[in-house]
Amino acid sequence: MKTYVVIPAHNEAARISHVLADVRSHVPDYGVIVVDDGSKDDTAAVAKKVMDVTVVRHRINLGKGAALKTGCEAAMKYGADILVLMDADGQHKASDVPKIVETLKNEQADIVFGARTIGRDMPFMMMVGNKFLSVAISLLFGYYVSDTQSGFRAFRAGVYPALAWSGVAYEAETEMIVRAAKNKLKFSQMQIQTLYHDKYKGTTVFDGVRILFNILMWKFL
Amino acid sequence: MIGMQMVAIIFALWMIYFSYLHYRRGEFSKVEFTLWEALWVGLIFVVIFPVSVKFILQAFSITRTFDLVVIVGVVVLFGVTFRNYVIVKRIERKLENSVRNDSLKNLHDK
Repeated sequence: MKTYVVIPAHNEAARISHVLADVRSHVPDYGVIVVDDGSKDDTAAVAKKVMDVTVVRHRINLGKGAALKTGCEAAMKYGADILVLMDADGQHKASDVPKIVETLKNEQADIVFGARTIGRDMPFMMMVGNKFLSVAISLLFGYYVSDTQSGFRAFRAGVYPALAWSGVAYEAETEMIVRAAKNKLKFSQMQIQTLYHDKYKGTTVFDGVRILFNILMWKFL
Repeated sequence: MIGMQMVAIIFALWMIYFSYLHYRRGEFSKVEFTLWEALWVGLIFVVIFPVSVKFILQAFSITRTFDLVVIVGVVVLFGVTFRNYVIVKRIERKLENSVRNDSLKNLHDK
């Protein structure tokens, strides 16, 4: 089965080569697509230096959701059967990539969500916001995903049309869950390890409020 | 009240000039230019002759012309905000599609 790892990246020149080398060492036979989302640094140039990595570049920064969509569409064009999404900042371990694909296959799931371990490492506001969104989605859509904001997930290419999100920013990850729930896709979860390198990147409190507002819109409008 | 009327008239004259400027630059069509000019001239007329809209005040039980101007202003602002929201959304979507399609165009064969 053709498997592609899609990595959206924005201003990650410092870490992207390490992340890609790590991915290559764990899954040398998987395709890797990096979407440089209008970075102001040399993210695309650094990524291109890594062997056998496809780099797609947005002229301007659109947001993580849009970058994921571009990456998935590129993978679909290459005939992918399974897509793995992971972050470019090195917070996900490449050793989890083959594990999540195995989980997808073994449990015959349509989509597998990586769930970050809740502990001292996870910022407090992120932990509270994440739990709140999990409960909100569970109550509104009957689909309990313990880590709604985890960017580490895998799904079968066949379900991409059902998942195809319209959000361009961080709400895309939540929208994916909502669409999976609405289309009654079989899902599974897998514990993953996470390293937080940059506390200023990623979802903010304001993003959380916007995501909650979107969840209500997706339910009632 | 004279002071407020003066401020309103100067503002309207300023806007007449700007509407004309946009028209001369080709950013406004003749119809748009005419509509905007009519709006600003109408505002000046109401400011100078507040009694001219007495029939509207009576119909809607509004006490002062100033209150009518404020109410109309708020309604117009809500309308403009909604219109701007729709336009921004549309432009965002077009921009996203354009950038994403452009990036996928350069995808090499595998």
